[in-house]
Amino acid sequence: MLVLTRKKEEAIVIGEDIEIVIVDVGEDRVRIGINAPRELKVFRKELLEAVKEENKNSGQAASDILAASKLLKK
Amino acid sequence: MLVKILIKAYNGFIQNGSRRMSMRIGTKYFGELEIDESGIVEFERPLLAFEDKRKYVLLDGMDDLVFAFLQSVEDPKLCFLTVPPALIVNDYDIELSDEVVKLLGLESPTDVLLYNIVTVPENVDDMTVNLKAPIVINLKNKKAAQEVLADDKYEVRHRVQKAGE
Repeated sequence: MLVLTRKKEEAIVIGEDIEIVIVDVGEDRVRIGINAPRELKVFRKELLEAVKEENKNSGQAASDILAASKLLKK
Repeated sequence: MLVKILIKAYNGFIQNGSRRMSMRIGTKYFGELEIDESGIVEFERPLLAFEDKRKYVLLDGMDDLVFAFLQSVEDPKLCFLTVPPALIVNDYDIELSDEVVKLLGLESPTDVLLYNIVTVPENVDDMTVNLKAPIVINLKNKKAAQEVLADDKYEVRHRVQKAGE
């Protein structure tokens, strides 16, 4: 893992077309600007972790499908 | 028993195939079933947390239940409960990313099938639906992916309202 030190308004470039700018630095948070091609998806990691967790909860659980289905039936 | 695989559009696809091949698979909720191989959905990008499983079959209309069961062909114990978004919210307006459109080879919005994964905890009333990351299927080639939406309109754990509320 590469670790770099950057100041406010400085940037790093990854490959040909990804640029990450440090927009602002606070006490315990930074604001980051990302310039990347549209087809490249950028997510907060905890969102992907949440999706992963939900997938696990749904895919592996032995769900009460009868009761659940009743609840959804209009 | 030959399982009815997904909705009419699917049937159209299957009938267009030159040969019907069936196979037997173990399922989590319905024992052993005979499925039509042409109905197998292949994830171009596997579901998060299940990176080694790519082939699933959608079992719809089973025992009159509302769910479409996304059953792994490779692992009988792995099965997701899914619902079409229309069952949960009135207007599910989403924008698919260029990336997923390319990945699935989508050419027209009419080729898109959407399903959302349902999570049923022990207390069934606390059931949630993942509206943030729908399963996208291209009907034409049955390629699929779970798309994590970029906008913040929908939640990963959307609480399901009780019927009649």
